[in-house]
Amino acid sequence: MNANAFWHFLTLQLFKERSKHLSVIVISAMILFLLSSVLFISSSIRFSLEETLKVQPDFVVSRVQGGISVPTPMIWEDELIDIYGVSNVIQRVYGRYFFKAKERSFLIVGVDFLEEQSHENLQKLIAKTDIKAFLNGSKMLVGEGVKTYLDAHFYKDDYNFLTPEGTFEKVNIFKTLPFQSNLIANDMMVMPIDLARKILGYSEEEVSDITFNVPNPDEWDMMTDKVSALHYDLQVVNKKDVQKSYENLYNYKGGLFLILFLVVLSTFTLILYQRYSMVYSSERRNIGLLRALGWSINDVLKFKFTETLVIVFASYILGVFFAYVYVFVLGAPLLKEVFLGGQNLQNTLTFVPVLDFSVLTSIFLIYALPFIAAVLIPVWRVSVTEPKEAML
Amino acid sequence: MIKPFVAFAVLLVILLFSMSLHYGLFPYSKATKTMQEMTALTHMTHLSLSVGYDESVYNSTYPEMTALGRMDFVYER
Repeated sequence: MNANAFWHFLTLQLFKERSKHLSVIVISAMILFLLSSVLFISSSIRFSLEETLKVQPDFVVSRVQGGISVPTPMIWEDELIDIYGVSNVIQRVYGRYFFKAKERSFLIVGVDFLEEQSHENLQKLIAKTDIKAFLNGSKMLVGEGVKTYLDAHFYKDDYNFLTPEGTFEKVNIFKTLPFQSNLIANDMMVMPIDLARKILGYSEEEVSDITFNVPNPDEWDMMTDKVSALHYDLQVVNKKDVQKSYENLYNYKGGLFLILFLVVLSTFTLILYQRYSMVYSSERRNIGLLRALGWSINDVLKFKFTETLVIVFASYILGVFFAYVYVFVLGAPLLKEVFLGGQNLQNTLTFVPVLDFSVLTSIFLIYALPFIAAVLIPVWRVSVTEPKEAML
Repeated sequence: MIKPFVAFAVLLVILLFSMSLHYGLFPYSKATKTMQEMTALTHMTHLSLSVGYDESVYNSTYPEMTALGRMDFVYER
């Protein structure tokens, strides 16, 4: 058959039965939309975390007693500095502050702003920051989620923290952290380290944990053993462990949705198969007519294959496009809570667009192959029968 | 090919094109740089999870189990 005539007939047929095809496209696009959205969110968070992990210290050392993290003695910092191959030893003071009245919590992070490196980092993060003004009195930088929450509760300029000693500590809000950092800083309050110690109830000789770098990755395993041997209640975690736990988590969550997708897809394929193999269906009659008009079995199969391919491509493009807009333009409302939670502060973040083409191709193949098979097998079975029989 | 089909195909191409345009023009360096600067300042990469606050790290009902409603037990060590 002439290619032009073939396409003309195919597109005419597609539009003649558009209501039937439209329902298939809508259902398929919805299934693909849901799966693609989950995989987009998962790959975007993973990408952002991998990028930030690049600048995170290589090792974290903390004190663990009875399986619980307890304040780490600051003297351990000196012991770590003395180890050959260890560099950039930094103490961290952080913890959650519970706003009891509304059952919300914030993450307080203490930073030693007297260090020159912290100055530079702050200047990079928030341009035109007057460090002197920031260090003059009790001031803090807050994440966007914290700022929105405090504004809504009439703490527009400052907040009164209740310290473990029972005294109030008034801290002024200096600036809001950039919204691009919302994935890690939405619920964060960054303040001078001594102020954080006071609010969280740490003594001057205690920190939450200590971080350090080991520039040579070949020494990491040896260093883990060496540092672990310093104290019996010392726990060492390196960057690779953190990376692995993130990967496992997102593979687990993405995998869970993939299983659901496979269940839905197999049900859908079964419905399609049954519809096409129904004894008195109009499809059967149509195929019989084509055969009676002189079409060969190959022509019929080619026609149905092309028709199905058009439907598959259309639904795939629509599903992936709407998922892309939903995740990377609208910020995945509702679905992001599966990954980030929604009980505490509202997080309005922009996901960094990441398209994993191997995953997209896999989705297409997992979706397209059973779909095409569910249509072509019954079509082939009808087309090999006598046209007279098929039209009955 | 009939005209409505051509129009539909063009629409799909436009959708693909607009998606690629957004993907290509997204300011990746700015987004990742801000996150990296934030990490460099705080030395932390904890995900800002919006989870319920649990004052104890133990599940008060079943102490041998991890506390329920906490997501950070899997997100970090």
